[in-house]
Amino acid sequence: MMDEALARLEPGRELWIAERGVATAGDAVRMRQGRGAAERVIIGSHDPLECAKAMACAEARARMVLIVPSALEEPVARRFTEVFESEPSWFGETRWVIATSGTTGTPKLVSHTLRSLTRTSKKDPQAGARFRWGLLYDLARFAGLQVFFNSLLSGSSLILSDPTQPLERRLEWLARNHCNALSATPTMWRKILMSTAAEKFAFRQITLGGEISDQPILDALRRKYPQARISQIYASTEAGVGFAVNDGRAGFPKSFVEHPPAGVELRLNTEGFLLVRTENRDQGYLGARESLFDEKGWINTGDLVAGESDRFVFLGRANGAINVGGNKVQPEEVERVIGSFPGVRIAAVYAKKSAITGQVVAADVVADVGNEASDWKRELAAHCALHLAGHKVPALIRIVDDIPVTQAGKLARR
Amino acid sequence: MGTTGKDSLGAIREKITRNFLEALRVRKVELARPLDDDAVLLETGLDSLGFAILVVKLEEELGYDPFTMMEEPVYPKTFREFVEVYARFAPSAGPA
Repeated sequence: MMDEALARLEPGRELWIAERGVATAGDAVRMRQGRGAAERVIIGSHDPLECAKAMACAEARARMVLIVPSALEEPVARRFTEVFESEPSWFGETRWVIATSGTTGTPKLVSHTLRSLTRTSKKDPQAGARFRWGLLYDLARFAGLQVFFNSLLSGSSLILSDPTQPLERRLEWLARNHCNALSATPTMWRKILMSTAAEKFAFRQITLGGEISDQPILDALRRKYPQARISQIYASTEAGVGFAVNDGRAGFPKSFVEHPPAGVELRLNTEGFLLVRTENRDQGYLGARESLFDEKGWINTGDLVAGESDRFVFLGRANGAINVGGNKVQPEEVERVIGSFPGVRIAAVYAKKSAITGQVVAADVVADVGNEASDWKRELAAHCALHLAGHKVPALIRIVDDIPVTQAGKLARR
Repeated sequence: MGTTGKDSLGAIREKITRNFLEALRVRKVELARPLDDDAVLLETGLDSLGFAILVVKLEEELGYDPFTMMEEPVYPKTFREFVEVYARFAPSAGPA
């Protein structure tokens, strides 16, 4: 499917950075050295090194960079083609075009500039030189691009890893190369803590993003790596980088609404969704009539938040709720409760079909339990019943060996 | 399995009874009347979420959910009818 999609994407004056494309990263380097700008650069390689070289060369040199997802699905390929044929080019600076990772609805292409991709990055080479960033994220996605540019702009080293290798091997590789800064989803961090390579890291910087960070994972990372600064990054493909929370507590301070971090404003709408407004609004949907922003420049993030004493905590996504006989359940809330029970490593909560209530809550759990699994499960169920309303308590708890994650490193929601 | 149809009905009945009481406990309700054959399900005290939980627990133990297998929906009214639904959809006993 990849080849076919690439073939359809090929008009006249483009430079291809693709495995079987017409050009290689070497061409991008020559482009960088030569005069004139490339009309468009298309990056669609499975090799992170090729991608990284091309990306480094394309900024400020190409008018538009289209980043084809590593796992290219038909609807996304179609969107790329449509946009390609209709979009007038040249906006004055390089446009970085990425596909949203949303699993439902029409895939969207969002175009960014270097500014909107790196809003919060510190450009202090002296401080930056102390960090050796590892890359676990896919370079062709927003989170990967962010790590890439942030490490580059701040003068840090960046250690790529082979995405075809299993996680344990990639972590071994990063540790062997003295990686001391890493950005990953909370789900990935839980897996990292389960790996034997976890012992070999001396992190100075731990960054979590892309999913809700709950208190147990923040605490576990704090215990394991007391020297590290732990940052939760709130960012999305649409909104770009929003803000960072560095106090090691889940959610963000309520005071952020009154006194927002630099460059961003936050607001809750009446339904409890978080809205953000960034100073720089370079980003936008490509080839779509709808705007990312409302008329006043706010973006609805689709993330539900609720106040808990002096914090706002994230409840989940608008479209992710489980419906138990008309009562909505955010799987993330149940995962948070399960995650706080001793022995739980990772929990994935999902809807199970029921002929009686439409859906019921079910949970798959990776846990440190030996032979007393059934007793432990009963205690976990009691723990859930104590902390959750009846319809939110999992009707089914399964102990599993592993929990699937998406290419973006997030829990694979069904 | 070497059991006769009648035996397996008894075994199914025993499992359903045990899980029924467990579902009542989970929903924190008392059994409103004895759980005999003629017990009307809606009078047992178990609510719809309780039944949803019961069906999930039984699927875990028996390996099937008859209510998602049936083409025409059947709504058992009594405990006997409930047990019969499970007996009817039970996978045929073991290899010959």
